[in-house]
Amino acid sequence: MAGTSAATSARTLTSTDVLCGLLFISVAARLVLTSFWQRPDVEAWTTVFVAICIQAAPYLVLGIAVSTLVAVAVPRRGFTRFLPRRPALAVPIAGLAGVALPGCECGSVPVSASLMRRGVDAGPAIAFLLAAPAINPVVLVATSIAFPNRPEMVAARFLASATTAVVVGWLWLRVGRVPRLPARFDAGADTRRWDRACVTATHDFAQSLGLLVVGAAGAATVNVAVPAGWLDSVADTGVLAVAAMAMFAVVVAVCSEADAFVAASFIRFSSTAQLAFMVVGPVVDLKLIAMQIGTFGARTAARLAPLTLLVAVASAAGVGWWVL
Amino acid sequence: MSNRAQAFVVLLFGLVLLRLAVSDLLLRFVRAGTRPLVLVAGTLVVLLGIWSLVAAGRGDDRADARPSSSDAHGHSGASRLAWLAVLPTVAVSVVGPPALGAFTAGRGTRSATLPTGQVFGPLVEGSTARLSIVEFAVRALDHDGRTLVHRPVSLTGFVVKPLSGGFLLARLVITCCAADALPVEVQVMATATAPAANEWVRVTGTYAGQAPHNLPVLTATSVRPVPMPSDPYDR
Repeated sequence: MAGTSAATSARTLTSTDVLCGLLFISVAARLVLTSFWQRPDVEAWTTVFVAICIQAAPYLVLGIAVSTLVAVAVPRRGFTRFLPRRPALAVPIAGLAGVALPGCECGSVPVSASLMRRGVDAGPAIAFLLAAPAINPVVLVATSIAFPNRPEMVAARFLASATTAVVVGWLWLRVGRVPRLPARFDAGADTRRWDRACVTATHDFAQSLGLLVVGAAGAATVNVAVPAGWLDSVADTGVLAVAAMAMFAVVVAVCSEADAFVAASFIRFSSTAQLAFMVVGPVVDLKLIAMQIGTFGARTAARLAPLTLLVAVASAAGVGWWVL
Repeated sequence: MSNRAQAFVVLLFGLVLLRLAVSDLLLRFVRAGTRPLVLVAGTLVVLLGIWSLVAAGRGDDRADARPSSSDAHGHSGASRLAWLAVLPTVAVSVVGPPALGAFTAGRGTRSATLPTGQVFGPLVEGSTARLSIVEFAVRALDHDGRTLVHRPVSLTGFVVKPLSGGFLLARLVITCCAADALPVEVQVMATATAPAANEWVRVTGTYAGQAPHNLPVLTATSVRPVPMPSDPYDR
């Protein structure tokens, strides 16, 4: 780590060293295992994997850019000032405030934690956490591109995701409590504000890209390895199809800015099943659960994730039945 | 992962985006319409990476006093995920995958859904009409291919696999990126030995009705190998 002091850094392995080592190993592997890389399934996997990363990259960049600008330009109490005193009223408003933070779910976890630190009740903070990655403009635009000529998908997504965020927020006021958060080390707002913003943006981007890579690898594996008829075999089964797509969303963990494209590729599935994929993905998936455990603690995450999954599937099914 | 290593990873990824955006390599992965977005994104990511490297160098003694380290507890697990951000860079610049082809076309039971009910004018008389495989298939569906009868056409695509008395010719259709590629296929009847799978060919011939499952048939008069087109996919 770069945090090591200059005296010891000459002897410890820095992450830049590891990075160079990784690049070296990958080049060597490419040169030695030639026939492996020329297998048709490996080639197809790599192409699909890269395609998802490239397709999602502009959305990732936009999300990080806007959230960095918000972090730098919006005053620290900008969010809390607008929230009503009554938590039950604050929940929907905090949920709608999520519209203002385009970004991956990875970005909204630290933000909602900082909301809680500033005295916002857990319910509104969680409504914000669930709404921000799901109903922000970037995601909705991406959805409209992924489903051309089908604006009802965008409307249904907005409705189902907003419902999920608000309902979980309200339920959390009843069954949950404010998680005990670790003490915050404050870096201090000093002179180099833009430098820090830039380093933070790089950090967020690298991390989101890493999370996107997990999703892209999962999707590419499904694309190449799962027999074509296998997922389609449950496509026409109504309720089972919705459940299958919801579970798939949890496992495949695609970034919310790219998940509409993945959902759209399941053309054999009903619109409601595709909707369930898009509503569940941004609010509960493997990478998000990992971040929640890291931020809020295992006990809170163990309650929050199943509760969110249940509410998300129910609201997707309800909205899908009503709108689509 | 230190700020500097992260800046390197981000910078490399930005360079990959730029590299793809200024060449036809991009079209192996996404649609041509995405090019401006990738160009802008690549530029921003490169600038971000450079600035971040400079910033990391300037504040070296306090390199880890970034705002996010205030959330160090929450990030400790996720921060390691940043390492995975190297993978797209490696996949593009070290592995360099080709466009999808016979493997993808051959494994799917799903085909691209073709638009129906389109009205076509007649093909120009007296010369060979160069059609996309999608247009050929759509015309074949229209009144049992009345606009194709007795008209020589030439199609460009790749060979999926040999069939008895010919081979299966296909083109992949993508709507967003290669992840949603679905094939449109034509059965080619040819006397010569079938070219190898994944080989790109231009087939000239005439329409010869439909095989089961709406698979249009083309009786070939000539099969010529051609290089892969700059945009390997149809839309």
